[in-house]
Amino acid sequence: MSTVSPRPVRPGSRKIRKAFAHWQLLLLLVIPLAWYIIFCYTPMFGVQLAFKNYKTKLGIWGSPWADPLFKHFARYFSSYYAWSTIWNTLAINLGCLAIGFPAPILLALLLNEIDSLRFRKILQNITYVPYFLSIVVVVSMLRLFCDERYGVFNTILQTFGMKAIPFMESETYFRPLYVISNVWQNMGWNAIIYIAALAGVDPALYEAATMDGASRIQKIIHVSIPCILPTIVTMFILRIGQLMTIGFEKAYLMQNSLNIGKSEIISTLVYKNGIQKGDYSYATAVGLMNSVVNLILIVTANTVCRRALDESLW
Amino acid sequence: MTTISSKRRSGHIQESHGDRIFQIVVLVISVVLMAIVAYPLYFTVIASFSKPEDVLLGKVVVWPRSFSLESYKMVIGESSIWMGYGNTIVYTVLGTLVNLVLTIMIAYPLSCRETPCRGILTFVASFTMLFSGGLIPTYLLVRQLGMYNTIWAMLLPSGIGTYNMLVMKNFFQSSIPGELKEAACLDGCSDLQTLFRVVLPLSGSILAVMVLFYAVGHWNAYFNALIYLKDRSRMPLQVILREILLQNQELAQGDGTGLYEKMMAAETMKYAIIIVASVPVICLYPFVQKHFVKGVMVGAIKG
Amino acid sequence: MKKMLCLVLALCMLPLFGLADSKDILNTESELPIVTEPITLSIFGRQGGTHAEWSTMDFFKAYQEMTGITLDFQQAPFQGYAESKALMFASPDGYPDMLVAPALTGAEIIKYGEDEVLIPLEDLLKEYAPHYTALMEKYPDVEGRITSPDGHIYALAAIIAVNAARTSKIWCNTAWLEANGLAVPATFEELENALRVFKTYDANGNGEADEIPMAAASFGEYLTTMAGMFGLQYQFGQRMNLSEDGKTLNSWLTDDRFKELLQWTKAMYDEGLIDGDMFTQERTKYVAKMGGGVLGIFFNQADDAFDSTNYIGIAPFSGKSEKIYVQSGPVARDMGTFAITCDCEYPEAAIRWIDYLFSDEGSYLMRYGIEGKTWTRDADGYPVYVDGILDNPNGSGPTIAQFTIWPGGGSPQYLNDHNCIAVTSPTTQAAQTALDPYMDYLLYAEPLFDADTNDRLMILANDINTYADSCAAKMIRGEMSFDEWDTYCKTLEDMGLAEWVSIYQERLDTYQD
Repeated sequence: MSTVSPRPVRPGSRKIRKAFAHWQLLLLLVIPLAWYIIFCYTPMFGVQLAFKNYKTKLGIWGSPWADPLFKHFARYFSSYYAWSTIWNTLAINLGCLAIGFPAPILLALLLNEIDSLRFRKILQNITYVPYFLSIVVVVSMLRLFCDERYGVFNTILQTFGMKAIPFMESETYFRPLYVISNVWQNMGWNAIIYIAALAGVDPALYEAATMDGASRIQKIIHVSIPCILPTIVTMFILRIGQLMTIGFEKAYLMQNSLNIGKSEIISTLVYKNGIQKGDYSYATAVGLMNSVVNLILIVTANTVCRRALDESLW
Repeated sequence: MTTISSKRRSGHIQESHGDRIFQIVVLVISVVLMAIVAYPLYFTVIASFSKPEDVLLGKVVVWPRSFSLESYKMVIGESSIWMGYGNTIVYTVLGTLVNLVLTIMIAYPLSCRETPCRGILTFVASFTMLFSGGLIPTYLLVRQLGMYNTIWAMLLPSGIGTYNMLVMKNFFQSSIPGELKEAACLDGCSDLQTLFRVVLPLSGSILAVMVLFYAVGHWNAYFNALIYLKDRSRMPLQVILREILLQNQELAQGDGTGLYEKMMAAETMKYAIIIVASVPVICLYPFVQKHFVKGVMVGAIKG
Repeated sequence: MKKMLCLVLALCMLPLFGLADSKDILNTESELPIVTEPITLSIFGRQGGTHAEWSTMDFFKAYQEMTGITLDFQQAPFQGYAESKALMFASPDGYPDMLVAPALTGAEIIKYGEDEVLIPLEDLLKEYAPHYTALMEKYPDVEGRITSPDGHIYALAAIIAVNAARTSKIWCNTAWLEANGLAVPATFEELENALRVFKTYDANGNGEADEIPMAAASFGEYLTTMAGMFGLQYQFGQRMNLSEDGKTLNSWLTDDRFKELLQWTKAMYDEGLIDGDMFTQERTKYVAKMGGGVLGIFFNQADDAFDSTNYIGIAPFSGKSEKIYVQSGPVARDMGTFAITCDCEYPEAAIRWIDYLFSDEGSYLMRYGIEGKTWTRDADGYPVYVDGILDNPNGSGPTIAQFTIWPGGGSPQYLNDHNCIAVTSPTTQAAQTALDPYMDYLLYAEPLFDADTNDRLMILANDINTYADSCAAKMIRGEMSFDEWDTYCKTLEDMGLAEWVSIYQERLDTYQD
């Protein structure tokens, strides 16, 4: 850590001069800040679409306000499927959280316990590979592998005398498939951060534990886990903030008329109504609702973690 | 910083009976895990090298059967894949460059104590991680800026990954010694000179990690292309893959007679396409690997 | 100051000049060329999956020369077309001049019409479109179907004056029948029997059971064809029956006849007699199956996608209902096949551009390409394709799609008995003859609703259809028991089935007045 060199307190008027002394830093900032304003903040004003009847010819600002103001939200909730899309979104995410969040931690702890350096490297690298595959590729692998007639998974099931299962064409298997393939794809990659954290644990702690006669399991519980806890909490809060933002691409690509009851999530709904049917106001309203719920979730998670664990993002 | 190997503990000396069992359990779990993770990858490889009929009949499970390059021959004949490949390479290279330049341009000033309003600016950037305008306003904006159906739509809207930017900022703050910067300052270096002569040369690992993050993102992105591009000749590989792998697009222009056989053959061609499309990006990883732990750890962990 | 005034005046005059210009360039002497000085119009539309690039098509090349109107092609590919279309309408930087084969839905026609993106065409039609107007007089249903509730016509429909082009035929593999000594199935009993025989019959002798006894492109198409055999109709294009007196509509989604249809389908599905792919497959896969000759009985509009030597079109199977209906599209089958946007500077030229294609000669150009190159006239002066098109090994559709745009559907076209040889090959004609006796009943076409109704309808229809389809699929596949039928009906009621029907009922009532 660098040390802060003491500086004399300067009068306010010099602040400006001081800022100018580092004009180059400000210059550097201009373009990225412009980027943030143009590509992130301008669209935020676009959310007013959710409260308007968007007319293409009049543009976002010129379109008339919806009457009543919450018309598009009301339309959404008048649909029988409104709550089921919300629940589907949450359920998939909770599944990914329940299995997908601990998985990389366990993997990192496991890797940490493997004594053979070479084997550890091999395992670590193999678990990374799926991360590099695109969602299109992963979904097509799923479809190929799970094909009822030709898929390898069903071939294997059948050699064990079991009946072929239509994995992709069934509501029952949609969530498990989604979650498991997600874990498969991201486990290794997400473990990196924990591996790094474990590598940073002071070896003296382990040695002290060994002196105390701790078994390896006890060392995991009493040394490794407490040491990476801050990282876990940080990642957890970030993850909570994404509870409702499940990437639409995968669900959309996996979707078919047979699993639609479980695979229709908020973002696929936004996509279909907005981008495909051109109902922009409605889609923006649904999307906005989603964003707000997210914001609430992450703020709550952060507050709870700060109170309970004294760890937080901000 | 401790390296991975130094962490290896000297626990062996007094390894107990329980610990030996533990080690065996760990090994067993690891091997099983490895098999589970690797099998789909392995199967894709062997299926792509096997005779298509054997794959369809479920004869390929553990070993490749009747080695054949038939699938790859079909892939090579598929011109749209190569067109997509070309486009993707262009988007990935230029896009990563844009990302890198923009990210450094903001991460560096935000990491410097001298920058005025640093806290506010950091918040301005971070807030975008929590809340965004959403798909449709962003799309309308891109149209309004006249970037629709141009290469800019592939480069600019994804210009900065805020999470990556914060990682880089943390790296600058925590692993570039403040003394070095101050020394450079005393030598009469301007802020820009400090950046180029002191900070960047010391930031090889984080830059490598950023290249990997961004490049993988660009290589695998298809959604922006889908909505921001119109001409098929500009489409990146992933869009073409989606058509071929998920929508059986190539069948539309088949000849009517052997269409059914062709469709079956196309099923196995998919394994080869997956390999062809994924190998380049997987190959990127080993080059970056040695920087990885350092780059990610220092950047991402607080404190 | 004077200069300023002139400038202001000039600016004010600009739009006026614009208006004057757009009519002045029209050629009033003869039908073609349309304009006296060259103009350019941009066109947007759906480029079908088998289409060549539009700019290279003979039809467009020849028609540009004939009309004097150069086209700026902005068509979007079939894949992801729904996205392209919605995004085109959202474009803040102007619209293409004409939408040709843009596959607009009823809701889009109303929405963009009311938003003034699409201009009203009725006055233009009266003045500049003699051919289309004549057809509207000849087929009175057309006007009602394309006129929106506010009285305007925002988009033109294709006019399909041939029955065979509006029905889905039932194709049966005669080679398989003969090989097994079976007669053409006419009743459900005979059908079941034939399917069971097909199931075990190894037609191509490859030792694999890759023959599919019965198949459909999608569950929706399966229902459209089968429902009629259980006495169910598609009034207003929806799953509704009309009462005997023609006054009340009922949704048959909760009807016992629909349940019976599902139960029968489940029985067949359980025996492996019906292709389970119909729930998920892409159309291309189905086309491949048809072409591969692995199907026993299947449904398709025409025989252009497969070699029909061994297939005949047969009548609906009897035995499940006294009344059997064959569903058919209305004369104005394809809605939203042509529209002009507010950014078009030459609406008169544009309407004449499309109108010519609804004349006899224009329709020949549109459907057959260039005379002497891809077609010739027979003794009666009617067009026939040259050799190598209908019998092309690539299939007639994809071959024709190299020089004109109609294959793939949704294009602005006029189809009558003389210019439809491609869809009414003798085999298809014969197949239609088998269906004709079942088409003699009152069938209302899908109407246009105002924007507010559309908003409500969109939610209702989406809920109801999604739920009904997914339950039907689950019941057939055994994931849901028929014991849950009452719950299913209850849920549909909760979703607003009655309200959904009432929206159409109201429309029906206005027709009756």
